[in-house]
Amino acid sequence: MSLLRLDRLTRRFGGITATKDVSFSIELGQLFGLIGPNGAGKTTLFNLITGVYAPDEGSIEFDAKSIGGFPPHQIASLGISRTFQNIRLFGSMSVLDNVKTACHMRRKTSLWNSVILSSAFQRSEIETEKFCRHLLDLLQLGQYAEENARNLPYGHQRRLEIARALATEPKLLLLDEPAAGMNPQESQDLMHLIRRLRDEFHLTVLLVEHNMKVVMGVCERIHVLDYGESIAEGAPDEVRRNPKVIQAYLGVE
Amino acid sequence: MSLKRWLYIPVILIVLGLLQWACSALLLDGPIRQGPYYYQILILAGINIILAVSLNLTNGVAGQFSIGHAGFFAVGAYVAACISVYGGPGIHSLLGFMPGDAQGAALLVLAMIGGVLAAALAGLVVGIPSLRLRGDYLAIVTLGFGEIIRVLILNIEAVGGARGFIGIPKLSNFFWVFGGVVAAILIIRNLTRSGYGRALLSIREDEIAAQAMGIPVTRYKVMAFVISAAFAGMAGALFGHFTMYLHTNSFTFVKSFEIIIMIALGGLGSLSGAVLGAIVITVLPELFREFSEYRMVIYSLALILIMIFRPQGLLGNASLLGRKRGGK
Amino acid sequence: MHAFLQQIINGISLGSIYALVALGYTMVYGVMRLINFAHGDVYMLGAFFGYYSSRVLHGKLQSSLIETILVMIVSMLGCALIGMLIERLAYRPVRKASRLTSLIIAIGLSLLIENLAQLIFGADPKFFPQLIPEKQIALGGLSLTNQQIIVVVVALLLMAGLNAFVFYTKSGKAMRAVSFNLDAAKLMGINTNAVISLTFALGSALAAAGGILVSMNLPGIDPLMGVMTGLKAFVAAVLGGIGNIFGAVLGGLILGLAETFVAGYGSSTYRDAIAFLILIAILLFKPEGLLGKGQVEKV
Repeated sequence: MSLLRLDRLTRRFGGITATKDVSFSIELGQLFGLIGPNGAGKTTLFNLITGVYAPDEGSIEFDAKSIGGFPPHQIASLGISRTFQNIRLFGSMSVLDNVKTACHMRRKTSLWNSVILSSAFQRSEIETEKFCRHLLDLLQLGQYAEENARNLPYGHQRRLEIARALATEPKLLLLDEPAAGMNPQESQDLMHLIRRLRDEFHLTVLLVEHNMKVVMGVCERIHVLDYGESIAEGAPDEVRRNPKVIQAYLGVE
Repeated sequence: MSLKRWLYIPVILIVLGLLQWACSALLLDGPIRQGPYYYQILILAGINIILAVSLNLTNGVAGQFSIGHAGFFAVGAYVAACISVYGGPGIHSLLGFMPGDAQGAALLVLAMIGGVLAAALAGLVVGIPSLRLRGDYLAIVTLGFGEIIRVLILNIEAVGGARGFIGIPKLSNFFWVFGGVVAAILIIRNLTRSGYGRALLSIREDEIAAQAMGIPVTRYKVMAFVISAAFAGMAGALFGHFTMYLHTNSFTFVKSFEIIIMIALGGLGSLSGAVLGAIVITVLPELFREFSEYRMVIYSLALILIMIFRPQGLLGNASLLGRKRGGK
Repeated sequence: MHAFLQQIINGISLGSIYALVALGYTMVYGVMRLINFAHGDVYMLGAFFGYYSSRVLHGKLQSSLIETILVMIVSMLGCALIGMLIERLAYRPVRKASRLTSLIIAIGLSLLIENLAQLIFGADPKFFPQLIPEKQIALGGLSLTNQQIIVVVVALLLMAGLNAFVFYTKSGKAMRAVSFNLDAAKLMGINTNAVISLTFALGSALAAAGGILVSMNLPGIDPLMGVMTGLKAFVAAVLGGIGNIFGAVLGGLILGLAETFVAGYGSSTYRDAIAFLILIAILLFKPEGLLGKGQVEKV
């Protein structure tokens, strides 16, 4: 059963077509990779799926429901969450509050209950805190819970992005270059982490990544974009040998 | 647990009542020279606290910089005054069976409810279109709305137009004003510390990320704006029923700037800072009355210097009301 | 029909003043993304510098034209200096901080200048000397004053000068580069601090000219005269598309006409509200302004 299905998705910016007729589908529980040279349209595709942009043509189906053009917060509530390539944490909030904020959508009590500090509100605060601390521990950020997010080192910030995305309790997790700026050891750990999260949270993962080692090591299926168009799809080994892909990356005549 | 918390309410009311009694005994009819003058400063400080604390919710917590707060202050003041001036006789005759003081209190409560609702409605009408804009543009649009509200009021003859609105009964006093202060502080504090408050902070930090985390950004911005306007309306209702006279000159954008100075002084986003800033800005000029012509010069210079050298406000991270979460 | 044409003439004359002041807002916004709220007060200072310099110069020169020109130059130089000082002392220290910080500082500066001016110049209106004696010029039944013509002509000359500067000189090119991308301009070896100073100087000088031109037609000048004009000029800048020089001129003219018509045919108490109505309408329906370009935020 496919969880996410893109059908002939097209988005233009002025005269530039950022993605053209992109179609693929991701099965439930799959680790799906999206690769392509710089400017291939990967991040645009992310922004289309998460509702930052509306598609010009084509459809996006998530969980058998058409979500093209939905606002981002609604898409998040349906169960799609993401990290950002250029880290967008809530910098002057604590690490814990960053994660708690992402819980708000699923675990909120009414405004009235919050204002009068009702016992329902307090129970929900305690549960939220427990859940968030668990997530932080899982991503080895527990000891930084009270730290301001912007004071964390870069690698930790990337992990906090993942923790925050998980806090929305998604079905589909979109990771936008999570290994960027990581050293080999850190990317190795990241690969383990992605697999582990998928199993523990029953996630489906869509991964955009430039680090081929990570993509090839983690993903079960890979889709390749070049200049906004799909050029190949298949298992890692097939994609690696595909002449079109080699040409796109190496620019063979 | 739940029961114990509700017990605070009668305690607060009793304390306020006692303080009110002390105020009348000592300041109004009492031995202290210039007592009524001190009383007036006290009341104005209370009203400014409500204004500062409420503006801090939009400007500090949600990071949506409004400079039209005086407009909502005006809406609350004028609507409440209309209720007690035009509806007063009818309500008094309806409540004829009550003692005079109780009638006054009931009338004030009605007027306050009217002022709060009207200001909240104005906040909704202004907020829905404006809050799509960001930063400087939002600031200038709220300034524009504030001025438009003022010009509209200036052109309504029923509220005195350019002559001012006279004949408002003196119904508010220490009890009501500080009851309002306590309500504003508690409600806004609890709100800020809840998930809603964290959501608002996240909007200030990064709108796009907040949306991606499922926060309906526009709805929450409007919510903060409406709550903030409602409290400004309450402050207005209390103000008009204390001064007994309203003129649109009290509600120009200079008043909005003054409230901004209060919250900037205390540190944007800090609740205790807003309270302190409001007190300082009310009391300080009175202490230096002989230098009154320098007052605004000192204000503005202080504002600039604070923003350059101590943008986190004079209080900075300290908080008088316990551990603050998430704020700057 | 006559009344209509008359309104148009009045509107263009008023609009040219707004345009001159709006240019300062637009230029500063263009290079620094900052609404310099104190700009309206620089305009007021321009009027006062003009007032004092004309008192010193009055009667010492044969030609009233030379006197007028001298007064303008003195006032424009004075304001250029003030503009540079404002930037250096108040805005430069917080250039890296959030835009909210500079916005609050701008508000503070505006209040500071107004209140200092009240202390120094006194709060009462001052009678601005008629630098050039007013003459009525009848033009087919329309009544024009020579002052109105001077306002429009001088404003046009200054705008043409600014245009030539921005588009045909090296400094102008640097200014455009900085407004396009400050960091990239810096990497290309442009002295961005100098460019920003220059922008403030030019904008302030234009505001000073506006201050003098307007004062020649006013019964009196006072320290708060810049508040409303400043706000309206800002509206004009936004209307035309902030950051765009032609936009500022267009916005100024539209606003001037709109105001004269509202005052002429409607109620004059609503005159000040029309600027804000226009502002709100433009921001809601076309926030980038008539001639501005939209921006997409990069995610």
